[in-house]
Amino acid sequence: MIAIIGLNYKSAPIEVRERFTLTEDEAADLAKDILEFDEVHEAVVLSTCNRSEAYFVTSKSCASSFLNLVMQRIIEFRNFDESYTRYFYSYFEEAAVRHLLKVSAGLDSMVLGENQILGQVKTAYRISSSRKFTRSTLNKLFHKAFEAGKKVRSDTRINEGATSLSYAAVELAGKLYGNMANKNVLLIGAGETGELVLQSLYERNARSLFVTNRTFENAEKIADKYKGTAIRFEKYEDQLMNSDIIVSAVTVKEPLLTTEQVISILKRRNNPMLLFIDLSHPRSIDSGLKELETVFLYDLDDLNEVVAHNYRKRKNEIIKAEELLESYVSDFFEWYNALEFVPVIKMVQDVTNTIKINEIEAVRDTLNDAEIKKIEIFAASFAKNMQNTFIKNIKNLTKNRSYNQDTFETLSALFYPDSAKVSTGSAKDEQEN
Amino acid sequence: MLTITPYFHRFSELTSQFLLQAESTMFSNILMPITGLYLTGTILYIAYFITLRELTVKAAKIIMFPGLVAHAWFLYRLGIMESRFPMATVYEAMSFFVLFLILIYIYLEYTTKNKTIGAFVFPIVMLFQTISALNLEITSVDQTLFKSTLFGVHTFTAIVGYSAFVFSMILGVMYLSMFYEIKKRRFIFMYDRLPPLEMLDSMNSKSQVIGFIFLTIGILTGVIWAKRAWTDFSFFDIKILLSWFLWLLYLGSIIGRKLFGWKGRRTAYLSIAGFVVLLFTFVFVSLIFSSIHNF
Repeated sequence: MIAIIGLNYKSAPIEVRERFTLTEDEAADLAKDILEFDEVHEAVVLSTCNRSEAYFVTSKSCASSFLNLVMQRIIEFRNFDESYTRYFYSYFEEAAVRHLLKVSAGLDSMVLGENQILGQVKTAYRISSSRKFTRSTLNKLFHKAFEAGKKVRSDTRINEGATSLSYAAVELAGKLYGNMANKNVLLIGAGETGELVLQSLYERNARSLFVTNRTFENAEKIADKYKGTAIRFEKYEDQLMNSDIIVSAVTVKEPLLTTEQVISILKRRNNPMLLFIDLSHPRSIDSGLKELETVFLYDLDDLNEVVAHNYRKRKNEIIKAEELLESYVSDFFEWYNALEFVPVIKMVQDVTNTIKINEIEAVRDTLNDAEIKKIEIFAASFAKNMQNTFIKNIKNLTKNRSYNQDTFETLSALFYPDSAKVSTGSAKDEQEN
Repeated sequence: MLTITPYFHRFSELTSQFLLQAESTMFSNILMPITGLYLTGTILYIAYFITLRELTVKAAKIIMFPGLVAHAWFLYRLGIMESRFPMATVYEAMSFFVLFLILIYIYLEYTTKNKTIGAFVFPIVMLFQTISALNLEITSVDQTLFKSTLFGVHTFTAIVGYSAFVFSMILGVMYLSMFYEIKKRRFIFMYDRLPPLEMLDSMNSKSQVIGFIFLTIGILTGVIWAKRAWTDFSFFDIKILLSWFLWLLYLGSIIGRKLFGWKGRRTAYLSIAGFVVLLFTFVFVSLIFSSIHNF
């Protein structure tokens, strides 16, 4: 049985999740702990800030009540008590497989379609597989999950469109300007979002980056990171005329820039188009600028609107993504169900091969070399075709899942190799009878 | 072996006769199927604009490609048949115009890597293709007039110029839609699908310049050729006046951009105005006014 026990941002608040966030070594230790159960053969532990999950494989005969024992082990790992079970969820078999695929594809993430989770799943798998904590089932399952995660991201638009404020600002700049290579950027102030915007524009080969701050050293620090130039706060207005994208992230009592200032700047500019990104709260740029024809001013509300729009678009892709995942779920189960029949298939091969060998031996003395050769070729072909017919039909059974325990037992009885003890001269016996 | 030769001879004779007949039948009836293929492609491009499913645009190209080939072949054969440039009547010129529009679009799609522009371009293409296909008749016209190279240059440059202006208008419309969505923060359709504003604006300006150059050559060669062709030629013919008006309009737009920094919306509005004048020149005048320049 394939099973998952875990918690995520939907099932547990951050205070609880925090306590279950594991480092790579801790994840490996927990996996090892779970493997100590006799019934558990494989285990992988995934831990990010938004989820911690244990994926494991038990023997076929395990009942779902066994999962409670594993849950106990997990909770004990962090020395917590029974009450924490309410934050956990569990899945087994098909639901478990589907869950992992969804996680991989970013469909279970806080930011729908995010890319980071796929790398995190890969790392978690690597931690276990390198310690030989996985075998064929989880190996196959996780590789299917990687494939599915990649496919969903390439075939749907689930990961397209900026879902953070800084990326929304850069996306917007892209919609206005397209090519950044001849654009100049000015960052006023500091802060994570502002710096992220600067970084993204740097990565898009913006021509020049200028940074200004009331504290010159802070401006220098940021400018150095992105091969930009720091400007003293008293002097930044001179730079405005040459800037195409102006990002403002400062705390002010009054607007930094007024409409009149900007109008006079526009007159002196070559390109009348100008983009202001106001990341400040309260706003630092006169919102009257929005009225000017060639000026685009986006404040936090506007950027949030961009993010909301992109998020809606991603949600529209969910159904398509889920359909894609279903085909991977089916693929996996085709393989997984066929595993049961591996011993049966081996039996089929053993029986037919044994009969083939025995029959050839029975007639070897009565034939010359050339005839033996022909008989061997015939027998090999005959046995092979018979084998393949049976094996194909057995595999069809697993595809349609049209079997139960009885089927398994019947097949095993039919192809039990000991029944292949054929005595020599059996053909002669038949004729005489 | 020798006895087979006459049969082989007869066979190849019949085959070539059949092929010629088939070609001739195909030739006279090819326009409607081509229009059908273009129409299917147009619908698929619009579908792509709405759904953004790659399959629709791939299907559009596969369906339209044979139409394009057939179209080009048709015009070529027409020219050969009549021993002249295939642009002597309104509808022939229109057919050539459509072909050119599609070729320009292919170039545009290739350079911008943006396939949503097709949803704007192909409806316009369909408009002209339908008019042309329904009305085009293979007629012989007075040979001498239309065989001269000057005539060829005149019509060709006029058509290229007009194509550029059509694209300029389409780019202008796209610019304005994109502009309003971004300005009003109402992200409905264009924000996700159209090329960046600046790109739309610069492509529009380039189209206007190219169109203007070709229009200038077209008007000049037209005037020279017409003076030779018709004795009662007058500079105040309505069609020719309108062409000069069109010329002035685009000149104004280009100068305005260069000298007064008229960009963005102004360029867009001017390109739309230019298209309206162009349409009026081409359509209305032919229908209502009698003019020596019968098309």
